[in-house]
Amino acid sequence: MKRVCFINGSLRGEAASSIRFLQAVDRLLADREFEKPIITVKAMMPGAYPEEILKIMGSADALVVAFPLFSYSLPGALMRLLED
Amino acid sequence: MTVCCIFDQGSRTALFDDAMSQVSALAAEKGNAFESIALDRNEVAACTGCLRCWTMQTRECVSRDALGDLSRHKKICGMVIYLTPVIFGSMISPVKNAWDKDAHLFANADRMKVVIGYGDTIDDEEESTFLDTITRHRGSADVVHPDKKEDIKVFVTTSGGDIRAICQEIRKVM
Repeated sequence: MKRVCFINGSLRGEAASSIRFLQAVDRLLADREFEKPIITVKAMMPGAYPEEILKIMGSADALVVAFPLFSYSLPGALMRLLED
Repeated sequence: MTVCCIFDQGSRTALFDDAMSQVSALAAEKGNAFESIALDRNEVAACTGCLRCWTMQTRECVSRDALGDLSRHKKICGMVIYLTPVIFGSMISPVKNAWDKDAHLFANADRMKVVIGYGDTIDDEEESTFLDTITRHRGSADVVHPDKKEDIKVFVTTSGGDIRAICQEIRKVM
């Protein structure tokens, strides 16, 4: 089974448009064929993102990232996750 | 005027030291007060995009973090310099958080912003992405705040020689 990791780069929780995009992609991928963990960024992350989260990203066959454009580029919260 | 320099305290390199030293010397030479503000990545909250600072006209962020005091402080600065390593063609996260909030908190402020991206190994694609995305905020190109008056200058440096040239450009507007 392949792993497709969804990354929600929005801090607006369930109201986020990013979630809607990820859900649309999710529906295209059959549950019996794909493992689909979801990671949501945090506004603050003292220290660093937990190792288990980074391992999920590192072991994924594909990453699907949805995020709001902040200042025409990635929001700071998503930058932090990618840096870690 | 007061020149305020914002940077990530975890990203100090020889190139950073060189840039900070030359920028502060330039501010002093021009008779300006100079203040440097180090951001701790663990104490700066990301912008949630709620826009309350803008729609409620408070010009203050609802997040209670290290940027709260900084926001009040920056209002008196005539020039803000963002000094950041270039990461994936963007700013490093603590500086990006300050930058994201800056766009709304000071939407109508009449002042200059300077962004200096640094790094020893910045490739052409990263450099062009960095310059392009930040330059889009200049003048009327900002669709969220079309009445914005502030000007933005953006530079990328990989050497001390670059920094000298950058300071020559900043000198013209300081």
